[in-house]
Amino acid sequence: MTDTSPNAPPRAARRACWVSAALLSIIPAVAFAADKPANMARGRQLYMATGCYQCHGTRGEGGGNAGPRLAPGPLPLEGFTLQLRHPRARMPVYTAVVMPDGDVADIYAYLLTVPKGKTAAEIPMLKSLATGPSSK
Amino acid sequence: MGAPDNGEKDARLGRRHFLKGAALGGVVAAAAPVVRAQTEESSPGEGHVSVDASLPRPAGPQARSQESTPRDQSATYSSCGGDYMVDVLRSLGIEYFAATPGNTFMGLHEAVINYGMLTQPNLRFITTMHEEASVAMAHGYAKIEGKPMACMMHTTVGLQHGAMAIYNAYADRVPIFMMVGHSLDATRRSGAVDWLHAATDGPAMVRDFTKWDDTPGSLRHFGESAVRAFRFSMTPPYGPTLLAVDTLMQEDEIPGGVRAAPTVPKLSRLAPPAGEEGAVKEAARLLVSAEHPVICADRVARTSAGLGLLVQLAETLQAPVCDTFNRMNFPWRHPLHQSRRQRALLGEADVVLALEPGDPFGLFNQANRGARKITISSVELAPKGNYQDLQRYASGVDLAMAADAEATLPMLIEEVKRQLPAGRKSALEARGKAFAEAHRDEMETAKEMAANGWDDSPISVPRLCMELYEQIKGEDWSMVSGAAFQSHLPQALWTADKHYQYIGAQGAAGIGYMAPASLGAALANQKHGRLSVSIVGDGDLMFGPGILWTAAHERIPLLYIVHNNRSYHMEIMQLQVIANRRQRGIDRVRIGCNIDDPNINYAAMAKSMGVYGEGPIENPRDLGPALKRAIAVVKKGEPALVDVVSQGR
Repeated sequence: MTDTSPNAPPRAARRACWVSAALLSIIPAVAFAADKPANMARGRQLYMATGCYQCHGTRGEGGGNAGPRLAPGPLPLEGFTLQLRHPRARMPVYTAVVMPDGDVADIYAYLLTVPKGKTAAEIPMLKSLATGPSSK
Repeated sequence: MGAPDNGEKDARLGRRHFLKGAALGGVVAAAAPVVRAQTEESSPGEGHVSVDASLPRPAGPQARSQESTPRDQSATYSSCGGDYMVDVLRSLGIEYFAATPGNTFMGLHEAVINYGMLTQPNLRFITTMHEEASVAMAHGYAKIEGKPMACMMHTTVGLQHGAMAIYNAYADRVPIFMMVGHSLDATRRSGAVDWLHAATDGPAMVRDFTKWDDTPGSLRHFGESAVRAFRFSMTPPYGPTLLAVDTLMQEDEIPGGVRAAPTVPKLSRLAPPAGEEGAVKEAARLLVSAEHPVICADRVARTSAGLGLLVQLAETLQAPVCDTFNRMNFPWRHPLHQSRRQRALLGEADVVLALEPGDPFGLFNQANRGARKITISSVELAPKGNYQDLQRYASGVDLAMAADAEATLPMLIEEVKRQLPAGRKSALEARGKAFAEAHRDEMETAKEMAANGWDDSPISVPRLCMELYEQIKGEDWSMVSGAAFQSHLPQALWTADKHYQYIGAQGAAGIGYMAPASLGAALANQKHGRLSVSIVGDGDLMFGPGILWTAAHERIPLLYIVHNNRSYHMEIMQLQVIANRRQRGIDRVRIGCNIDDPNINYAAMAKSMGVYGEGPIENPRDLGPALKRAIAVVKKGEPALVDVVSQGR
């Protein structure tokens, strides 16, 4: 999830997350705190305090080669948690000691609230970019 | 250029006679001109050429009247070693001399400002505020201009300041003509500081990561060594070279007077080493017969011709090119540019051609185990063991050419064309079309990635890059910084096809390079009328913010954009990994990494040094107008800085 190689396509990192999610069918389900509802506001604070934003951007928009986009539309919670507990590539491992299941649920709740942003087609500066070959 | 013609010599003589006359007319006439007296004892008359300048200083016991004595500041003379050195530098095509002043090279400093800067071809003194800045400026300059500029330091305190920048240049294979002032004659040092600024073998401390060094013992020796230093520096693999120049040789009168000055040696035409013919044919055979060849380009294009040659090779084979972005090797929007797919392409490759690979270990670890591996690498011609242990673990290579890749490409292209069967044409065309489609797909993916967080504050890095591109895309622009800390988004989104449009990064990943190297590259771009832009990290800039004063003082047009993520961000990410593995949490990793509390106002800092400043820009809607205003300043010939409060990456 945080392969910083300049040649590592973010897409590959995202693919790793989907593979991890698929593995859930053969591993025990991750336990989640169910004694209280997820707290979105607290999740936002935790997202910043626990450093998620450093690689994934302050609203989960992604950080280039440092970390893929998390929001809007995050992975299913189970896959999200699996990546935290057993990260691929160079992402820090977040055990339940440093990030209890309740904190995970709150952060996830925050990511669910991130609204959908503009697409490239809605941004003239991006839409107008040349995609074809250059002059040489 | 070469030795000054008679007219130039006459001009120099005229200046010196004027100096001599002025000096002799003053009170110093009564003082004993020590240097002159020594010369005159063996040289009966002014202008009489009886002293061989190549002879070393007298050694061993001498009469009191002859032995070395402390410098006599009242002695005057009409020729000096420094002027000869200036002539040598100019004969090598060196245009700039960057230095933070130091007492071990006042003799050459004076010669540059009073002789080099006032006569043609002009040798201009660039004032820096740190020796690391001098070397890094020369680093950036060479990557645009394709030749060295000079920089000078103290042997001890200066060279130690410059060492990191020298290591960057060495790792980045960049030519720099470096000199240090070297106080050889202990009996003529002036006082306490001179002891501290002297070393028996000054260049030793950087010898591991300079290509060659020497300590000339005479002016003739200096001339010959300067030409050698230049040749070694400019023969692939390029690298920095160093001359330790005796302080008194710079300062003193030329033994025998100006007419006895040694001839300025001629610089030979240099030819880079190309690959052996049989190896080139074998490489071509492997490439032509491959179904999935991949070309991996590292520091290949030393010149604009190199870029064109790589395009020719790729198009002839319809092979994908994966670029490390250490140089402008290949047009960013060329359909065969497949850098973001490197891992996948190498995984299915049957032949990999690695051109000047900096990390063959990392590269070939990604490759299909059955792939045939070819390297063309000039580093193998000049290996050093202590630093930059390159080529290690490249043992799986099938064909290793110790040669310069750019110089080898013409032969390789011709051989590929000769061996390519006519029947392969349609297959190659189909291969090329598939890569063109993949390139378009990657571009669309990059655009969508750039759209994420478009309106966020702190400003997203894609937004920063695109707002900049929007302002410069109609100009003759040159990006004079690396882009690794911006995830190489310019390469993913912009169109660039000229060699000078991108110069790569540090070389040895040593922070503190970007701001001064950008200025050196901008200095080179200035005479070509190009618009130089640099995205520099806040941490990098703070290693040597004095470079902003140099930019203003020397009137070098350059747009600095500060990618201000208020941290040493790479280290934060790495520290997070460590802290979490120890299960202690990462809420304290900001300590030692964050650059906040207080936040630094970079625009105000720039203004304080005479540079136009904008920012801090936190609202993305303010960024475009701020850049536009700053670029207007740059186009008038001045530096400008825009502080952009940005996401980490």
